[in-house]
Amino acid sequence: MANCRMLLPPVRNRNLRRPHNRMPAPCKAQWPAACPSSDCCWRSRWCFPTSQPTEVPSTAGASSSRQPTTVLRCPPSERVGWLSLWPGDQQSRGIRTGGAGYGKRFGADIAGATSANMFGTFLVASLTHQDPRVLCEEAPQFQGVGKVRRDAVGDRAE
Amino acid sequence: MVSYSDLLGPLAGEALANTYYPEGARGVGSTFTRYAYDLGWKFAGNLLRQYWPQINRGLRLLPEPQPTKASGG
Repeated sequence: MANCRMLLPPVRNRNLRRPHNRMPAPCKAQWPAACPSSDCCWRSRWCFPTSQPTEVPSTAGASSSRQPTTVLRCPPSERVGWLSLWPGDQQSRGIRTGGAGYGKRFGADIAGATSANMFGTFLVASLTHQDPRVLCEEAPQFQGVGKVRRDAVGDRAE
Repeated sequence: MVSYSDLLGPLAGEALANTYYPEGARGVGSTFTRYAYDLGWKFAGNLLRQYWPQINRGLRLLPEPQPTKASGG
């Protein structure tokens, strides 16, 4: 798993245990550029860590030891499950967040529902002869649902 | 009777969605992922429709419709 390597100001270890100090830090790349790695993801312009930041020992020498490198782990979409529905994860897939991204996703959903409706209730149903008229002819016992069935049963009972 | 239209319709729709989705959301895997989401939502919706009377009765969300009294007798 690749990490988002960020240079953060030095913090004391006890501060890392405080929840308010676990806020995500910006990645090196400027938003909305591509993420530094495939496992790195944008969440509302911020890098989203899975666990608490962990300090790694600096290997560049004594000069940079005063500025430790903090590794924030960003979850890939496969690991966060339902969190992949977040707009931030859509950002990593090429869909922007914000009002424009919301509009695009809304339009894409509407278009998908419309095309699925066209295929499902018209084209495929016509090709396979499964439209409701054929079903009614082939299965005359089918009396519909809801009010139609209640009326039919009520008529029979009476 | 297998409802091919209900199964193939969303799949064709999601395949068509590759034409207007961004580059990162295209491909066979993304198509079948969206298709699985569609089937899942449809499954959940059918469950809710099927068991709504029991759910309504258990949670007492809405007053149950009173049976109509037979006229005459």
